[in-house]
Amino acid sequence: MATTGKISKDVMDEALYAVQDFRIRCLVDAKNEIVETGRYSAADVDAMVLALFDEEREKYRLYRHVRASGSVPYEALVAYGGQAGLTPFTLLKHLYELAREHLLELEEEEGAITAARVTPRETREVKSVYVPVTEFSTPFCAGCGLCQGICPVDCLTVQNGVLSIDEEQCIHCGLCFSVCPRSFLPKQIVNWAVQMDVALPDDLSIGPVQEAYSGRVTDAALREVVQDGGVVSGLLVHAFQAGLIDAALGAKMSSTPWLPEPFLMTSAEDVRLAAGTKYANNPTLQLVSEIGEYEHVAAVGTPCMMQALRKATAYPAGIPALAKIQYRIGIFCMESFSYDSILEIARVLETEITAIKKMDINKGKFFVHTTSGETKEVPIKEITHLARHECHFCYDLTSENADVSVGSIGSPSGWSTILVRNARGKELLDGAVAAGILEVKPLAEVKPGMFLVKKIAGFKNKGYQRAKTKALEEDHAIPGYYP
Amino acid sequence: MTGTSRRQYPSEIRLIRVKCTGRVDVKDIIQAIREGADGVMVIGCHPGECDFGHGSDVAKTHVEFARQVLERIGYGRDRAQMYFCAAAEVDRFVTIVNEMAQKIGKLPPNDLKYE
Repeated sequence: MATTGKISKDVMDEALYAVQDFRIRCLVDAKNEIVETGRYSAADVDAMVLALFDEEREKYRLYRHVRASGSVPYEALVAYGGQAGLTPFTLLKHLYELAREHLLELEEEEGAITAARVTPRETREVKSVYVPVTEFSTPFCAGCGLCQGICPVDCLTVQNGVLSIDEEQCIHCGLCFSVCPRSFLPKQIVNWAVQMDVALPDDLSIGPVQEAYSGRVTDAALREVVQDGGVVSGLLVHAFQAGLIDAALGAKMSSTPWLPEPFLMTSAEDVRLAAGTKYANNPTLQLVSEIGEYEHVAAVGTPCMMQALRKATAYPAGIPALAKIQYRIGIFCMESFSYDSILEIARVLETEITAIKKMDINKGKFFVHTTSGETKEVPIKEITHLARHECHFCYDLTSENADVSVGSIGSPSGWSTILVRNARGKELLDGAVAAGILEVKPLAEVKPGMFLVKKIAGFKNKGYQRAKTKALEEDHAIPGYYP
Repeated sequence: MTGTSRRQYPSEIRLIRVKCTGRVDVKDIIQAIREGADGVMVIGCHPGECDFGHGSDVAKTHVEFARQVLERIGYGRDRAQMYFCAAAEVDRFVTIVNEMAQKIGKLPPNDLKYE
């Protein structure tokens, strides 16, 4: 790099602001501990810190632009962003972050930013806005496991849907806060990220949808082990066979009956082991720490995991493994259960947990199919109190932040609904169909179709609104979703 | 001890005494250059000889990051440098100050000092 440049005050100001960022300071100071933990090499840490440094500088330039005139309307901010090479996406992200640092106040109208105004606060007064996730997430942790997957000193553990931290080891870098889907989640940002350059859809109740299908795998042997149409398994098999991926993050049953565990698939054969829905909460994304040498990775997960991954693309913090996740396959999810609740459901149905061959939720009922060929059922209403309360803080049924979303709702029995959300999802689905692994028909041609997807999505969103109202009345924290 | 030994060293240097180099932050180094310094040398006790445990190791980490930052913004990593030198090492002190002055001399001057 050129070292002949005249030293500019502006550049030094940017650098001075950036090096005071708490994430940067923590990572620099704890570099030895991080390297000893073994997750990130010294070079990784340097790259992460410099990535954060560049981001902070960019943010400071935006702040300085606003400070120069005191208040800037949103259109002018977008124009500035254009000149400065910021996408609307990064611009919004910086604005929200500056607002959380109380350096800017954002004027909003009906959920959209109309202007940004400076506050009297000085940049040197900024304190860390990135706290360890355990400080706020207890009432609504999604249990996705991403914080555990990226923690530089491996001090977080998600087990059975409950997050815990080793205070002794924690370096307070706040990277977990950055990636947590519940700490704050600018919905507008993530939706934009999903679509990249595609125009906003008219109906946002189930996120952006380019194409909708109903589909199933063609392989009869595979159909035996999968849930509904087995579309997720089909997509993964295709991705492995076509060489699109060399690893996939998912879940399989552990040796304890119906207790899932995170599972790093590395071949099409592994996909069989991961097939079928697991209703107990499972921190799949803790596998991010094990991606290691794999270069092209797919992730299968619930809406919270898709939110986490998508947010992590907006806040990458230079973490190498996150850039390798190239396909995100989302599952429809109403709520998940703790393992204890799964055992309780088995008791309600008077079934031994070991005798259950398959579980299924369909038409408002929870079914279990036993090894002796029996089918038992219970209305969802009677077991919904067993679901994780934390999950009621989620508004998203259909994995709005995935590349392609798959679920049973909306399709006839034995088929799965497929929502293609962007070009990447389309590439994956078209490939699987062309390879003869999946058969699909337009969702519009099947009953009950899109109508039911939107209806159930509405239920989940209403549930979130109720949980939020109740939390506000009881004065406890809620997830920071922005409009 | 360099002063009491009546030894000569370059007059370009401004000494800022700290109780321990471990308290020198990345921010302090950047701030010094922001205020017009051509470069910053942090002179700490030899590794393993720290009264407080690992003060100069901490300083080394901070200086190392400051160097990366200076390189990143295009002003050259050599503007910050960590040296280890005990209080009694008069000759070494003179040598490293000369060395730093020479390194800085190769870089363009920092005009911010006239502002």
